Amino acid sequence: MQLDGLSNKFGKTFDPGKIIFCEFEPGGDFYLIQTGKVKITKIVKDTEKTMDILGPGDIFGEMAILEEAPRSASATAVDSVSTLHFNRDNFVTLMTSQPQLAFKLLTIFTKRIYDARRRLVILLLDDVQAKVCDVFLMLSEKEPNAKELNEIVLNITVDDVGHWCGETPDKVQPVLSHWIKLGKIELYADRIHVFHLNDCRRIVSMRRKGLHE
Amino acid sequence: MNGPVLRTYKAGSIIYFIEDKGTDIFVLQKGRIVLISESLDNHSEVREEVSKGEFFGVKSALGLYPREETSQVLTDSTVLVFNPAIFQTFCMKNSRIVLQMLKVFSGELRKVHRKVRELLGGAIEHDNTVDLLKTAEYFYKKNEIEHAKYAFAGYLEAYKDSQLAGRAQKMLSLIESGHPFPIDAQEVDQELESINNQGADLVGAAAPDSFNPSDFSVDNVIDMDVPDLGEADGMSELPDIPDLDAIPDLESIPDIPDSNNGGSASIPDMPDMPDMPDLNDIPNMPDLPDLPDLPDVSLDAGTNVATASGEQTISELYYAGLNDFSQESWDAAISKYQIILSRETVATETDIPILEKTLYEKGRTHHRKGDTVEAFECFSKFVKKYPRSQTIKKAMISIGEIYEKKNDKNRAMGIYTKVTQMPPKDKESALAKQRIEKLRG
Repeated sequence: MQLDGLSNKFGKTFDPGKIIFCEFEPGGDFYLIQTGKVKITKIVKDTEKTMDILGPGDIFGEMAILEEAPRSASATAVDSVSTLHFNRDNFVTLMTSQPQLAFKLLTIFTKRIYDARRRLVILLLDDVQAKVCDVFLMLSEKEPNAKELNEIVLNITVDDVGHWCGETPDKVQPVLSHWIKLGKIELYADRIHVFHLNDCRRIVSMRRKGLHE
Repeated sequence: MNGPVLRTYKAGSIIYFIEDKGTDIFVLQKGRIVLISESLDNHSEVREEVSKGEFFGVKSALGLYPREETSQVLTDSTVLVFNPAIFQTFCMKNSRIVLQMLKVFSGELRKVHRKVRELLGGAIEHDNTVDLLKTAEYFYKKNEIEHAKYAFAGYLEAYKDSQLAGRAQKMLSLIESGHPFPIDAQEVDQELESINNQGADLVGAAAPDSFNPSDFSVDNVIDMDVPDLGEADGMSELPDIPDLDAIPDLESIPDIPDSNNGGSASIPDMPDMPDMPDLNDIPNMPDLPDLPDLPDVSLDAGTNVATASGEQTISELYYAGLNDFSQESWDAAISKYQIILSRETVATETDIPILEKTLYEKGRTHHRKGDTVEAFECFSKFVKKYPRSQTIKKAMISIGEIYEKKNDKNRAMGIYTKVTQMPPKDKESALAKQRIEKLRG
């Protein structure tokens, strides 16, 4: 992207290892990386997990413009990072002068809306077992041949499942334990092996139709 | 093709159905088209008529997701159809239109997020002020000093009037003086609860000053005796179960001020602690993770690497043990937990939280199996060794259950009473209270 002209006005640099913003911190700006890499992390159960490594052309922190909510993750410069730094005040200036950036943001938003709606679909289920099934299905939908898949290894923990279900881990654990017993899944420290996605589809579908097993 | 194409549709026709996949983007030029979708809560149908000049089908086309609505033609209509490449070129030349779409999308995103938050409800919602402080303390514990300073400073800037600002300020001062994280510092949640429990007496008083690093010196720590367990073969020959008072002494846990009657104005001290090493000897002690009712250790994949000898790692064994437990294979689970505990001396820092959980799980498994003596031994050790564990109340309740089995109502009642006195007031407190009432008949 040719954004050099904006560097003087909106440029901000970070030394290697420098924190750019912190999870749960209030924030009203977002960043476009010009050079360098930025690590996005979250603290989950006393462990800092890397969610993503972003590079030149990537945007991060954009939700602050929309949500006025605290940061959902921390951002740290991996190496020397130069960014363009925007906020609500200069957002319109940037978007009108840099349509390619506006278009990129548009694409990001479409994905965010879809992901949020998909999560909503899970939360609307009224049964923990169906919710857990739908979490497995949602995560499997990211695979290119999702509809044909019946078995998948998901790199998630019990906590992650609980998070997606909107339930505490102790609510989803009995469901998982039951399926372990039935040989439908295998649970590991860092992953869950699901053997019967078709069963999950059936359970979710029945639940959605309001049928009870 | 260099531009959008014009397409006409007869009244009653469908341009696309919900769940279809497609990358065309449309603009209504003439006629009437309605978009039919499900409401966010799936309870009703939503019909929105497209205005002339309005784009539709954009999100699913750009995001490569199935269509989220059905577009139905109400009267003979003409639409402009863009493929993604042409649409992008169009956007490059019409940034104001993109900006308008961004506003529409942002509104929609807010709406969905609001609904998600509603469904998650208060129980899942986090207090971001507390979470930011916890994040700052996480960095401090992990010796990521610059990150910690940033987070504490950010906290103080954003929440300078909060109840925990004093704690944040003191932590920041400690960092700046080069002091390591005070490993026996009270948990943020506990401190907040203590503050909230001060009741009406504190209204109008100065900000509570409950966190004082000097409170955590070894001089303030009280020894706890381990209950000696004799040898026994079974229930009928249970060893002399130690006096309640010999079980980790929880007497000094502060009384919880009753908010209904105003309560005490004094801020509770820290619960009793076992012998603690000198703070200076342990610069970066990892904090124990939260423990839910059931085991759910979160581990990085890195901690699950097999050992050089090819034997199962501690985390692998732990999860295998949980699997065994869920299948009621008590002996298999116990033997795995036993292997984990035998490796305690060679455990890595990452394994420490698992060791804690393993000891509790071993007790739980013995308890389910009916091995009362072994269960008692595990729970007693657990209570002594991990007095600040979030599972401590569960372990104590289990001990109470064992007393009940032995028909030792007094001791059962005593330990349940202690559970009810321990902060915070949670479901274990309620359970202990129920047990007391049941014992009283």
